[in-house]
Amino acid sequence: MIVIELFQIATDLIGVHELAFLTLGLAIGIIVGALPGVGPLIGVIMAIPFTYYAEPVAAMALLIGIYQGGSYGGAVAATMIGIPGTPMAAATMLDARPMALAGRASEAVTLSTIGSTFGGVVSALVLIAVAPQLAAIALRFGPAETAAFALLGLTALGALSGSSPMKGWAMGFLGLFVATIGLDPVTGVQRFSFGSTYLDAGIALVPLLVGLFGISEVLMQVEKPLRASDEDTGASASARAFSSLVSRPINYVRSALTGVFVGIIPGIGGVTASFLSYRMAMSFRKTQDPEFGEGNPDGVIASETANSAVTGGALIPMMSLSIPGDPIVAVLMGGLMIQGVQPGPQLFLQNADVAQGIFLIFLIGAILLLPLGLLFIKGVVRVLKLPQWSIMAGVLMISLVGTYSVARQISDLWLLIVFGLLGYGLRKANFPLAPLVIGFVLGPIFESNFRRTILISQGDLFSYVQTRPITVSVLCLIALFVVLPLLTRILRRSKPLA
Amino acid sequence: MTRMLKTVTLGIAASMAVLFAAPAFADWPDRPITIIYPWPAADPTSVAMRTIGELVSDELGQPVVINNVTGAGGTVALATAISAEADGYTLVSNWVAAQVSARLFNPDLPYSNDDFVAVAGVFAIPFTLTVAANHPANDIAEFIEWAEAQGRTLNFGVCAPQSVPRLIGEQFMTVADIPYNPIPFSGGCGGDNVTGLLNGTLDASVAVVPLINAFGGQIKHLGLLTDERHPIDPDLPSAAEMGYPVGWGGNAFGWGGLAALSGTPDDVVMRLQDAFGAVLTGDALASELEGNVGAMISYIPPGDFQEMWAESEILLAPHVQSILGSGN
Repeated sequence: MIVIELFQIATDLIGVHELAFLTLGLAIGIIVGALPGVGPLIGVIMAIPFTYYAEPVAAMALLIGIYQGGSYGGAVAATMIGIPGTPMAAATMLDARPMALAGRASEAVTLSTIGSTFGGVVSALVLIAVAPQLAAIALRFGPAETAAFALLGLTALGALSGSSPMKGWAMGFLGLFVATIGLDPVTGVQRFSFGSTYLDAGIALVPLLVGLFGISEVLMQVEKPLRASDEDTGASASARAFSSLVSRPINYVRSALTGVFVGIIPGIGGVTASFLSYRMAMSFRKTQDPEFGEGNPDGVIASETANSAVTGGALIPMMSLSIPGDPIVAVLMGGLMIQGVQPGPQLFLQNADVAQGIFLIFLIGAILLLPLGLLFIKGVVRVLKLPQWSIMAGVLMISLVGTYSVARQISDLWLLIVFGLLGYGLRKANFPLAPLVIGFVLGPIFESNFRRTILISQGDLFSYVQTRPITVSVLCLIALFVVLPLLTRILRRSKPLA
Repeated sequence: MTRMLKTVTLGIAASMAVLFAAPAFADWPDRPITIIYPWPAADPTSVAMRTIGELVSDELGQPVVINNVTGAGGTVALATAISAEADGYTLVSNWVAAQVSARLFNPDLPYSNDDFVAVAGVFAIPFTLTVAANHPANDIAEFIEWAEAQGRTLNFGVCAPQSVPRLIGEQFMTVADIPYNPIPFSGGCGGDNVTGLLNGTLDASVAVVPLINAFGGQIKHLGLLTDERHPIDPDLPSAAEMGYPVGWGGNAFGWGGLAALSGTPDDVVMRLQDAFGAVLTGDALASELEGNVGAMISYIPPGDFQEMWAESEILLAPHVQSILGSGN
């Protein structure tokens, strides 16, 4: 019945206009996502003026298309040139890049495409089925819960550095430190800004990310060119990628649900979702697969499926409570309000057709991502046949222009270069970069929410936390994550003695 | 050789011509004007400024570009602006938070009131006392009665740590003699603090009027933290008429406007003041911006606007001192 009803609504609400806007949005999204530094946030901001004169559903189709396409496009750059086009693709890159260097480039990107589609479709179905009911979860997340969740993400730091957990922790703490630069979130006091108003605003994510990964990659390649390659024909590579749906279904489902759940929580976001999902996949490694970080397909699937599922999850509190969980969703919300459509509990009563139209557009977008993504891979593979120096020159140029375009501040370019050199040095010394990014992204979320929790508890943190069941269970989960590996190690050691 | 010399001479002559032609400003403006804007592109005031810019560009015959330079409560925008040429091609949107309150908290910020010349006061946003929709109180008097009955320290959302709404909110709680615990939110007045009201971590918060639409029926405003009512919602009583004067007069607002850089030639400043004044008082803007965005716009002539800077500083200084003294 629901299916027939939906089909009825679909034909009423969605016409050629909406589909054309959606396809255009997806294409723009994939491209801006793949360009280092540009990203889907800039994409949706720049698209807003073009939505003024469109109907509400068509306007949202364009913006949602960019959001969905953008969260996928980052994986393409991560795999093919070793630079995460978006922060969310940093976890994808851990395994997609080694796969590409080992001659499985098309397979890795196809895996990302399938994962993104799967994550998107699952989150769309959740959105359609239970958005208003699930929105209540978002309200259960106060500062204490958000801080606990950020801490859970931070426990992944040591696990993401392969052979040497200490290096992972060191990089994680470096990320935490870099994130403290700027104004204190609670008192507003300047920290490590040396009197510079530019640093008062804090280190921006784009120059940090593009510098660490993009500029350092160019420098690395100047020394020793590395190429993504395909040993198989495209057909057998994609057959192998598609067969993962049958051979690894649990990973897809688990990652999609993780993504939807993290998406619903305001202020956590896709970066955390992809790393958490990746961390979970690590606990379920198949013995015949390579180690994580050395080209394990499960790593690619976990990260990409989760970060695409976040998109649908994040729309739930935005549409039902008008709480935007991340900056991109905040712009989407602005786009809706420009149309005179007010998100919030009344949306489903006053503008039910718009709400349903958005849900459907989201579902169709997630499905359309598959053919468009596959088409895009073909184009990218052709570009990668160009000489390596010309690709790297292009990457350098796009990194500079992309970073500048975010805030049009020359200082951002200096920062880009500083982080580029830092990234290069760290990679030469075999330090992993991913934990630095997690520390940088999660540090402020943890700090401001933890300190707010202290303020709200009015000096009695311990009894306050006891009244928050979600916080307590997340803290238990953290204890499990930290203690369990230690316990197994101790048990293994004590065995020969027994 | 001679040919090259000729080219070089010609080149020098041409550049000299440009050099000497520039200070005359007779043709001002002959290129686009940039407004450095401190809030994100999706912010409602940013949308309003874009519309104002379009209308002003019709007056001046050159495009007006809005450059969103965000960060650190608007201080980055002002600090970026002072390094530009004082030629009237770079304007900055100066808000009370960045120009007055942030500087009282951090005296080493690189700018002062003297670095700017007023073009127009554009926005005056009154702050509200806001609670969740299911809160028992329906106005300020009932809220104070409720607060006294609680017999505990209230968790009170105050927007950003060094913001004007925080100073006004704390002033109100002091006047009303309610024990409170200020909880700052880095996102300002329209984000996490409202979520805090909805999930019960906050008892009350400072907020702004348009939020009531944004959160459709989930929150309610008890009153304005001002001395008088405001056209943005004429039915909303002010704290003063309920017997709790905040006492800041026209300064009890988040004001924001436009300034040129000191040293800009007088005729250029006057043309800017006239062009923006005409647009801000004209009918075209009123018809383009309806509803809440339109109601936030309140034109203040340049002379009065310039005086407000120093007045606000005198008013806010003791409150900043008391916060700095309390160690919060």
